[in-house]
Amino acid sequence: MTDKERISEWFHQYSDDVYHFLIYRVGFHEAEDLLQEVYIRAWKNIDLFEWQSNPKTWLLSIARHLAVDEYRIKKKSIWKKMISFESKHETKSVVSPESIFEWNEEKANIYLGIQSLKENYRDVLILRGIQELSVRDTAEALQWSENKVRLTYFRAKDALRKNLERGMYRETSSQG
Amino acid sequence: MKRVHRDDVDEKLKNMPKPSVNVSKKKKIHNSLMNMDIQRSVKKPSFFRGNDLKSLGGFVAIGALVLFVFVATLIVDNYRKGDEILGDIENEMDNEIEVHQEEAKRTVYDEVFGLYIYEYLFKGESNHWEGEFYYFGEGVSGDVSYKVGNQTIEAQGLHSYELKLTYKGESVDIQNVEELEITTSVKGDSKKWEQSTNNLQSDKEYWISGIGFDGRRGSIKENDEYIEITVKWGNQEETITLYSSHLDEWEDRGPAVAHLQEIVSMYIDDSIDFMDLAYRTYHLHSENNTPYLVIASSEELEQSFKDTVLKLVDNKFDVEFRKVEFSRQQLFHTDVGLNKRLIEEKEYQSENFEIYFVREFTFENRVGIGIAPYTDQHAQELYDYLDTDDILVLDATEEQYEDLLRDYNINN
Repeated sequence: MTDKERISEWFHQYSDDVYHFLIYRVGFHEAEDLLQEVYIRAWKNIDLFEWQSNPKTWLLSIARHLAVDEYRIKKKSIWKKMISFESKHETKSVVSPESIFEWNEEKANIYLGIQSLKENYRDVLILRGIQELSVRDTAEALQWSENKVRLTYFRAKDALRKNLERGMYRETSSQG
Repeated sequence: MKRVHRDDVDEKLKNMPKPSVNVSKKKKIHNSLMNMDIQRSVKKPSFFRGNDLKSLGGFVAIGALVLFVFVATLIVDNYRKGDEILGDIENEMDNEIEVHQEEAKRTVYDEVFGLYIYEYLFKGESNHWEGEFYYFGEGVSGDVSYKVGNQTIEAQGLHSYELKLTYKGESVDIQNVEELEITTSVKGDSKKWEQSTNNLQSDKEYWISGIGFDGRRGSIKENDEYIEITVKWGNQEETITLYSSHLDEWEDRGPAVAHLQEIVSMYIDDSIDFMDLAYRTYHLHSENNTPYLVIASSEELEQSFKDTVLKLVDNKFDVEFRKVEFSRQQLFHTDVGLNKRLIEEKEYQSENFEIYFVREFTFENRVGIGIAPYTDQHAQELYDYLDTDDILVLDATEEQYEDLLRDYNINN
């Protein structure tokens, strides 16, 4: 099987999982762009793929790092330096109301609640909680120990629960 | 057996929506991927053909095409914090090259923006050719790295390069040559490119620009002293050695064009919600293959936004602000609405034709509806029925809609 065929096969098998992870991680707008980028990076670095490991968790680990990378580059983009002042236009949220408007209020709140958590919490909630990966697969995708996955997942759920109990997203949602 | 306790949050998370990519978008991304000539980073990369850029817009497309051309762009390396890099560079430098290197590269750290800037310039000539290679990298402090297996991949910032080759002889001699073969060699690591003379920038000048990830290292290592370029044209072959050049010749040159395109795109995306914009895309001027940017919007763009774009571009390529009829938002709603009505619910059944697809055609600024058999009368029938201006009725059997037809056949 050539690299191209392998990437094509992985695309058919796992693109929905990767896309879905990216939606929760970076928002709808960025997810489609980054989806292609994940596969480009995978293709280019296919030598680094360990065949005994799972292509899905490998792709998810690339997606996760791209999401982090994307965020940092956007935050500190060189255009800000080049024009020497902050943009007069406010940067708009990556959360598009059109994208989650069909979800019910509770789901929309959970989506926004996840987005407000710190990166580690978001990662583990999406992979372990929403995508229902096993502890082992989550550990592989995040390159953590299994214990760290269990502990972080527990703390992340707690943080999410507190956010939801405070109802901090209700107002945002009803406005949308 | 170990019992797993599931609580209310587990249940809620499990029941969260799992949206998938829509079929035609998925097809499009897949096709785009399959059309890329991507090589493993350890192999020789393929060459960037400027003409291919015409059909692609946006960051991913540009990045993908040129990304893998010149160098392995993701360097497997030990992860080190940005502020350690400078110290390491100084320590690792060979004494003999040190003086040379200080002239050859510039590393600037901007505390306010948390960015490193790395620049390199190499110049040289042979009997028939003059060459110049310029490298510009931007690195973000607190670089990002990730482990794959037992290796660490560094994925920080972006870099860009420009290679200019100028033929020193008579232009008539080189204009009859159809293809150039260019091989670069950095410390024995050689990359071969084949360059069609269609990409001639002027009578005698070849210009290649590309962009990649990894702002610090991209193609050039700190201790690279020279780059060898071998040019084959017709029956002739010559090697040009490009040496590190002096600082004052390239100070403030800024990002190479491919990189600048990306920076401008980032500015646009950070400033305007993409739904408020009709599209932004890069095209190539047909006469000289230089890029130009088109920013299309249905609303008048703010002058301060236009001014900033022009300031960023700094006359390095042309910019066209285009007024179009419909916003992305409107086309999006028309697309979704008509897909539901015409494809899912099959609301309109004509005796004369069948409807095969409804899709937003961004650059046409319309929602395209593919029908077959297509005649002007059939198209008019649908225009009359739908009575909206933001659509375009198309012949679904045309070759370029092959994928959309295939999607239709799969789904039906």
